Amino acid sequence: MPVQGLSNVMGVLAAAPATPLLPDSRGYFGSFGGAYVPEILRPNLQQLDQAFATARSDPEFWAEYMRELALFSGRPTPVTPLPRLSQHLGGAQLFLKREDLGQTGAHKVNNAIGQALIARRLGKRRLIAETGAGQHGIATATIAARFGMEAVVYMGAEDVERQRPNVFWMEQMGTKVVAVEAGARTLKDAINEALRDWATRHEDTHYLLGTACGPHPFPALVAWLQSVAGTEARAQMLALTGRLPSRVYACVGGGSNALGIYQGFLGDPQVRLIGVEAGGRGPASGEHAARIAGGQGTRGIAQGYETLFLQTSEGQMVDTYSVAAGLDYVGVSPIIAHLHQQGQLAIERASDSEVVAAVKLLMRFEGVIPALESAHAVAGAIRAAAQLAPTEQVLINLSGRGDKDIFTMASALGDDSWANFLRHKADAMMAAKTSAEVHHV
Amino acid sequence: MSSLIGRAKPQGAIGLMGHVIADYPSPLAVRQMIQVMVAAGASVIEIQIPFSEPMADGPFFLAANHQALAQGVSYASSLRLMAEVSAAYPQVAFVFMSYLNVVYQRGYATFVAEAVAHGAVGAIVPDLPLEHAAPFEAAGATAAFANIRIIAPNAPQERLEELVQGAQGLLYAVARAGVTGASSDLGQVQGFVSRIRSLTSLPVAVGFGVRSGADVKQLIGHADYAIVGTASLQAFAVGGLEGFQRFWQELSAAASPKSRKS
Repeated sequence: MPVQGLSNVMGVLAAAPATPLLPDSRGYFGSFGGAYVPEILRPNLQQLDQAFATARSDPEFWAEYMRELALFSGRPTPVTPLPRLSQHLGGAQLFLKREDLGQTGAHKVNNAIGQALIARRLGKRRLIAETGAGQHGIATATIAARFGMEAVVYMGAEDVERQRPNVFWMEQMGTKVVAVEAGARTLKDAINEALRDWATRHEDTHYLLGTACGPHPFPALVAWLQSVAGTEARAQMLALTGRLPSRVYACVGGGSNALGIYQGFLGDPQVRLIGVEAGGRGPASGEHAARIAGGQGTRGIAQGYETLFLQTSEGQMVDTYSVAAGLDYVGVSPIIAHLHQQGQLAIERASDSEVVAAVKLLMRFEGVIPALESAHAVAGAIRAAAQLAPTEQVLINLSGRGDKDIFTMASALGDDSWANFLRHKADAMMAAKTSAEVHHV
Repeated sequence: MSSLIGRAKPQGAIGLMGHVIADYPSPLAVRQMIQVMVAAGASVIEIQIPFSEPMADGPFFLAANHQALAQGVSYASSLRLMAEVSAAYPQVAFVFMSYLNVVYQRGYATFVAEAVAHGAVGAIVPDLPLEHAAPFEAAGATAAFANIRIIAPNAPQERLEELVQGAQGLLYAVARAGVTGASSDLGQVQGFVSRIRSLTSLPVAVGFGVRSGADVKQLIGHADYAIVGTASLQAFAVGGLEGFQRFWQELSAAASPKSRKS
């Protein structure tokens, strides 16, 4: 009896892909998107667009993708009810879609596996990628190792400092990590650098872009590959509770995890879709990455596409900030910008301090350690939950796990014993090194 | 614009096309550099309005763009420089070079009107592909302001034909894959350039990897203009104004081996 129906609530792999969100012939979703790249990159994008079209019309591709997601990344990921946190907040029933349980601990691996399959079909032997928090970089590193491909990951030097553990693991898996010193030394600079690499070396290289941004066909391709989360989650909510959630929350950096979960519910007008951007130190501080919430982002064309950017009146991109490196990005997916403009999507923001508080609550009441990025969605849902009736169900996309954030969290919480631990570890490592050097002499 | 940019130098010679970043490394230095280029016979000069995300530029110009912005170089100061040098050197065709967002934020029509009013005859916008270029080219058409199209060596024949069709001013042929600042095997571009020339009567300029007098010489008889960008600014960075002068004298001697001005 206890295991009856378990396979239902655990869900099954998406038998067929979601209806792809496709742009018009110019690569536009409404008035956002396009492909604004130097002429030298045009054949690369055309080849990828054709490969994407072939994959869409080939059931074998989807079957191969599902097989790899199951065997390598443990899909389907469950939907987990949060009864204690829901009770504590005294409102709606909260649920998590557990993308944190996939290989490498974030949704990024879905897209990495899918694009690596396409790259392999194209005969490419080298993958390049950009990364912010390091999650897309590490996903790329694992699939490159698994497929026996060479990998180079571009990462802003600022992010290399913030996310050293991910850099360590990428390098251990044989990926070359290039710290990008230009500009703000964050995600946008890493994207520019990856595009430069791709412009230089096309024949054997696939640019495995990690989010639903950049020039066409990347937004459509990444959104399509990420749709597995939404397809699964919709069926899982029905199996678990017999009905759909009234709201779905996701954090929005580039927008790939959000588009992934939303695609399960775009045909359900009664489900409110809500995105949460990085509010950082507040809208007046200038230290945030809220492009849509608060209306500070303005229309522009950069990084290969047209969207809402945080920029000056002369079109120079400004420095963004978030406690979560993966949300610290100056633009946003053209598909997100379009859905928001169409009124299909609401966008809010959560501040660093709300996010840290949300992490603590989720850990204390449910034993789940969220990534700081995903905790923005948790913070948004927590803010709303108390105002909602207990009959309402709120689904949160937990796009990644928080292990990587241990340094940032410990520092945000001012944890002295962690600081002592680091000091002792560093001393011991230095002492071991010194003694080894002495022995060499 | 076509009145200022001519085709085919006399037998055995080639035109020179220079590049500067507006007011970089300083307002004075850039004016001195332009003076040297003009004296060395440069007949087309690009003035780059700096941008925070210059995706077609290599590390040297990338750093220079960011440095220029940090020093406060703006759209307005770029226009001022354009007005000054285009008035001082009417024999030279000055064009803006920037990335699309700088132009887009100003508005295509406003940008063209202001550029023309300040003496520019065209613009090079590397992240504006033909598929999205119609609104900008339409804004330029009424003012005879050229959107200078860029052709890459990996373009198939149909693409060459598309790019040449309706092109204005001159065609910018990129010598190799990649971004600005690395060297190129210019011996390889001759076939590519002659394929373009067979399709158009517009002049063809070759850039990316033209770094010395020897490189310029290799293009004589094939291209109408040799574009020297990164190497020129590097000559200034390394050797100051004197080094810059020596560099441009070398280019000048290579470009017009028979009839050198004294």
